Amino acid sequence: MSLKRDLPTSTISGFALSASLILTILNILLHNIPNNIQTAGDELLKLNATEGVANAVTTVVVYFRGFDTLGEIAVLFIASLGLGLMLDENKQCDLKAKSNFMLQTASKLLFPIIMLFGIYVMVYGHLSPGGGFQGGVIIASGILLLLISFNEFEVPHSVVSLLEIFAGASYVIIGLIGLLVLDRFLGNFLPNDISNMGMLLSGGIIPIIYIIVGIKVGSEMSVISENLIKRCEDV
Amino acid sequence: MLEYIGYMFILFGVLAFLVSAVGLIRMPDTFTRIHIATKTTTIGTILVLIGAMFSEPSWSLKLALIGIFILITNPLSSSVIARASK
Amino acid sequence: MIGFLILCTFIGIIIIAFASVTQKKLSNAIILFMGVGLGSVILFFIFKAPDVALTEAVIGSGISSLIFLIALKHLKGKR
Repeated sequence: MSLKRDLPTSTISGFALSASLILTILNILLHNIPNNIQTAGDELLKLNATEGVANAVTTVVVYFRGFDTLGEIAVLFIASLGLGLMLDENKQCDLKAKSNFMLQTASKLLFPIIMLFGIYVMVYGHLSPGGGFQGGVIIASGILLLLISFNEFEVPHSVVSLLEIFAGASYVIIGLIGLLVLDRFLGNFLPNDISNMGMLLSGGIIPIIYIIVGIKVGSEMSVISENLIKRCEDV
Repeated sequence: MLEYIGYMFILFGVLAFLVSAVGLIRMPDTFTRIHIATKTTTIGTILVLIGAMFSEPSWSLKLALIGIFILITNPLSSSVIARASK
Repeated sequence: MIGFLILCTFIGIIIIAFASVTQKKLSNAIILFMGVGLGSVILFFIFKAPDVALTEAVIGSGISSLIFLIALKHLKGKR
């Protein structure tokens, strides 16, 4: 059938080479795994119990490596800024994405569910898998659904820019308060008892920072998708 | 006992997915492919979820929510694809 | 048993990745790229990293392929 035409011989030989490589790696993985490998992550995971957050990955990402997360958010902001500068504001683009009655009804039905799931993932980031980045992108995908199905829908720019300013400023301000109180950037100055581990209000500043990250990522990703759908290139 | 009833449902669901895969190769046309893929994947997912409900009864509420979500989105996506390929 | 599942997923990801690289039409390549993302979601979940699996499912195979498709439509309007 058409499968033979789509897979030429170079593909098949490359596949065979990689499969033999993977088999060797897997043989090592499955049969002799050394039990006591010490990595940098283990040291951080041992420190996790001192902060009272159930999800160890969140502690590492937001708290021990919180400065890197600030840098990642800055990178996303610069990407959004560059896209907004590159695409012309006055030139409306017609992508010919036709929407119909069924898509509009179903997106009205689905949009609250997607937003609720995104907020759940964002707020429970310190208890279960998930967090700010994932929740923000889920919210942005809900807004992308609205942008595709309703042609006249627009992201409210004043609200989004206010949210983004608020989120970016409060991240830095919380970090500076930690610097004042505990002598290091992003110090955990709110009460974080280990006895509260697993509750929604636990972990001090860590859930607050993850919610801030979620707001910033969600607004930036929705602005990026709106720019890509509504505007045309300048050149 | 309840666990084995669940495994039976999961087996039927996987068989529905197999029918879907055979149909994707067998059918000649885009629309017939969409037709067979939508129906078999919807019923296969629902059957697998029912099987998981039988084997782990404490997960029932979440699995029912996932089932409702799939019942909304799966026909919608197939309708959108069919309209786009027109 | 779990090793066999991991092996099957590895081989499937490699087949889909090679098919994605060798496609003539760019839209087919993007759809197959989504398949690579979904396979790696299964791998991350088996190797006990549900955070990374959620990130990959949302970003890697969700919104980034959508953005690729929209960018492809922009490029087609140019020609």
